[in-house]
Amino acid sequence: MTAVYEKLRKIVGPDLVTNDEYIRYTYSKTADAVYQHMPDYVVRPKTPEEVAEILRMANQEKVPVVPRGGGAGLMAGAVPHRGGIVLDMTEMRKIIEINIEDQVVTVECGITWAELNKELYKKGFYTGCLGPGSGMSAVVGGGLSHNSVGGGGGAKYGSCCKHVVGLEVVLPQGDIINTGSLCSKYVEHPFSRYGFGADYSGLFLGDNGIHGVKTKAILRIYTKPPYVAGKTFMLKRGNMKYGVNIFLEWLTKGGFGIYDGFYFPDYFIMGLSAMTPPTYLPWKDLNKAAIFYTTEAFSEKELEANVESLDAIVLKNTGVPLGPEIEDGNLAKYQYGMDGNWSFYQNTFGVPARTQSLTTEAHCPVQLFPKMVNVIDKWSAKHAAELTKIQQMTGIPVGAGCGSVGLAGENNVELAIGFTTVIKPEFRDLNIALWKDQLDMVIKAGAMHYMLGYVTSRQLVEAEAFTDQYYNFMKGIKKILDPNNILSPGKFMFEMEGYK
Amino acid sequence: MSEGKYSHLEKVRAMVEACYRCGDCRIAYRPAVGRYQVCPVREAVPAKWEPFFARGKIMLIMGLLYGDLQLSQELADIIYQCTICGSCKFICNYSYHPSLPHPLSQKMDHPKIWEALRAELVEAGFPLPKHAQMLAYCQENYNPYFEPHAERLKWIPKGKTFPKEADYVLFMGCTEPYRIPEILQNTIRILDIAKVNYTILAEEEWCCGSVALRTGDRKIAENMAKHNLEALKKTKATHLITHCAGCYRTLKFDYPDLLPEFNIQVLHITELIKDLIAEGALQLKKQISRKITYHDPCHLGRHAQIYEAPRYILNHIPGIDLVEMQRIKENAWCCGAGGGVKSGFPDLALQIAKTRIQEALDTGADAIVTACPFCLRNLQDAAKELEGDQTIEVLDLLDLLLQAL
Repeated sequence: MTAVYEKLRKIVGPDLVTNDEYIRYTYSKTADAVYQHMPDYVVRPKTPEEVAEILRMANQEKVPVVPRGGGAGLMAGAVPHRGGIVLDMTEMRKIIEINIEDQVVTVECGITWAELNKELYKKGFYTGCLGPGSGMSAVVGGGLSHNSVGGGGGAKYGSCCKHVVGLEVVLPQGDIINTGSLCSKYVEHPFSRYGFGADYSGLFLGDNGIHGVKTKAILRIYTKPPYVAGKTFMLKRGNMKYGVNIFLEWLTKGGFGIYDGFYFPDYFIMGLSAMTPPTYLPWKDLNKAAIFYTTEAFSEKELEANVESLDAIVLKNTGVPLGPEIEDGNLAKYQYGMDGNWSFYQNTFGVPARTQSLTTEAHCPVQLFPKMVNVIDKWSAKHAAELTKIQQMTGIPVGAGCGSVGLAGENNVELAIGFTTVIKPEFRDLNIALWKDQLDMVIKAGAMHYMLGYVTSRQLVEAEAFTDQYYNFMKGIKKILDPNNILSPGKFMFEMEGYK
Repeated sequence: MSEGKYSHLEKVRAMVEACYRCGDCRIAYRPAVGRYQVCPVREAVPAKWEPFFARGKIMLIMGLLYGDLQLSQELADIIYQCTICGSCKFICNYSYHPSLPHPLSQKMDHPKIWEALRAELVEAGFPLPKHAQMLAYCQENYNPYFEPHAERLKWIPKGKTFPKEADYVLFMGCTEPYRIPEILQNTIRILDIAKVNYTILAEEEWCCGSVALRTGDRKIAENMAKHNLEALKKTKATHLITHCAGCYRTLKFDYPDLLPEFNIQVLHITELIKDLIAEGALQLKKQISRKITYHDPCHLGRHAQIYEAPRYILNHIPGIDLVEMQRIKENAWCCGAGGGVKSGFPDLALQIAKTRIQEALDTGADAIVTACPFCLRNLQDAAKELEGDQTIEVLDLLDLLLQAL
């Protein structure tokens, strides 16, 4: 038994730490298809104090630590690339307080977005942005680390970090701090994300787990409007400019209570339809682009006005309504009504069934999304030979493209772009090279990735996306917080001593 | 790489490689479709490591297929802590709507994957010792209950005889003749009232092979199946009926897989009774004023999609107030007994059953009714353990039915 293992047993008790080879193996990957590395230990801490003790010990022993939430990240963010300790945070999943008066909820960060919202729904509330598209398995801590969006409510509420009112964070050297209004010892109930001075909550939001381990989050909650409508339209013209026009006009004319808005390129719909069985039967013979919205309101009258305005904009941009029911092709009704608003993106990953997706998804301004899709076309042309080789060797079709394009707050869309490939170990190096090149091209086209994890954070450095001054600024902050670089080493090329 | 090393896993390789580790099988909640959590084992074990739900197990299989891991007894101790309830199959890209037949959800068959892994463990010499003892006995005496084969027919009431040939064969199974004979006695009373032309295989009936299949010994299962098929042929029956949900799943889905010539129609007793009620052959006249809830056995529900027949029967009993638990049909919480867990990890089985009993208590029902002898016994054990604060009766569906006839 190693000294580290013995110390971990003392901190969390013998049942919540393991060095078992089989269990460790299951923590060696996340939802990306190619990166894998075994941890030496996996721990399930129950309290922030245990997390703090683990981090202090890790500093003494110079052992890397990687926090892991639902393990649903697509950028290998929770893969222990340098070995060491994986902190499985899912033991900490309590809802501590739902404060209706102050409209905030305090949770432990290992709770899933779905479990949290299930409880909020009972009281007529929700978190607005429901977190990432994998919110049935993804936890609050992971969503905040990635500034995620895609799990419903993106058009109205933007990404999930916007709704943070405060955090409890264990810093890499073991100090436990509260950000936001709770930084004051005299504040009893959290009410503001900003404490005295700078936005230190923001230091840990979208940080991809390098600045600290989030143990509690205080999130703003919103009244769930009682009136909802959703419509789906076929767009007669394939040109993406119609999708852009619709999104822009929806946004610039006031939003009309729009909760989610999704555009589906025609080739994506044809791809879904070519599956066995076709993924969405009413779209089987559509062969056109489609767009849908869901809108919420506090009165029937307001809802009717929203629908009228939203419809008018789609109709003048070649839209044809597909009918009111799910069976008619109204995917909006399914998404809002049946799937809990989490599974749409996620399910498109499993559509090909024999291949897996390596994703390059990112945000960009609405008007730029056709350009980003064009980047993927260029990438496909550039790598046609490699993709053909994989296809010929396996007999399995592989390819790249843009899936759904969803409104993601402000004037942004979230692009579900990437490529599907065969994940056999013999293709690992090729897949990584292809993935890195696609990321590189999308970064250089001016898109903004949010879920960075290990893969994109390093690619940003390789692509020289940061100025020297900015990168030094990032390095400086990391150095102050985590001088030994024990927390998530490797991301952004910040390494522990002894690693390259 | 271990290309070709694992013949059973190779057959499910495409499914294993299709898993993209989203983790919905960990703890998904989808209130709109009645889904509250996924894996009964994960929720019951103290340390909820990844291998205690589907994603982790699939990772382990990938480790075997890619040569990173080896089979061992330690692995068996993890893998056998699964009831093979199939709940994970019904969250894996499962849309809950016929218009969205997601390709992956159509391809994935988690119980099949877990059974393939168990078959590898058994062939490599790593069965769970308790299962190995049970199956060794079963091979010699045709039941896993350590009972003499000759006592399989002890349940038959004095004077009751069965013809050599009939349209229907009632498959007894092992649990009922050796542990809950009343169920079989009730079954034949109902069949006699409805004047069904049936017989039994009597001493020619061997264990169906379910226990062997679920725990990974396909050879024993195949032997049992071959023998039972020969016995069945002699009766000239066109239909096979059984009350045991485990036998039903095996006869209906595994026998055609094991024995291509098996072409007899298999019915669960609830399917037949539903038809008998609809045709008027069974008249439910007596009032039973009870508030009850129904537990979907996994082998009947998720494994065979029989959700409506038992509810049809219950709803036709005068006076019965059927209230549903929070998790039903494809979302039903397993009783905890299946997949060899009751014999291999009895405390785990009991822990899971207690959760289900609590869920039944939450409905305000005074009885939880089921249609599987295995569920019945495990839920009864849990109800006894919980006695004190609140009580609930655990009943077989036919018990209630007979009271109404």
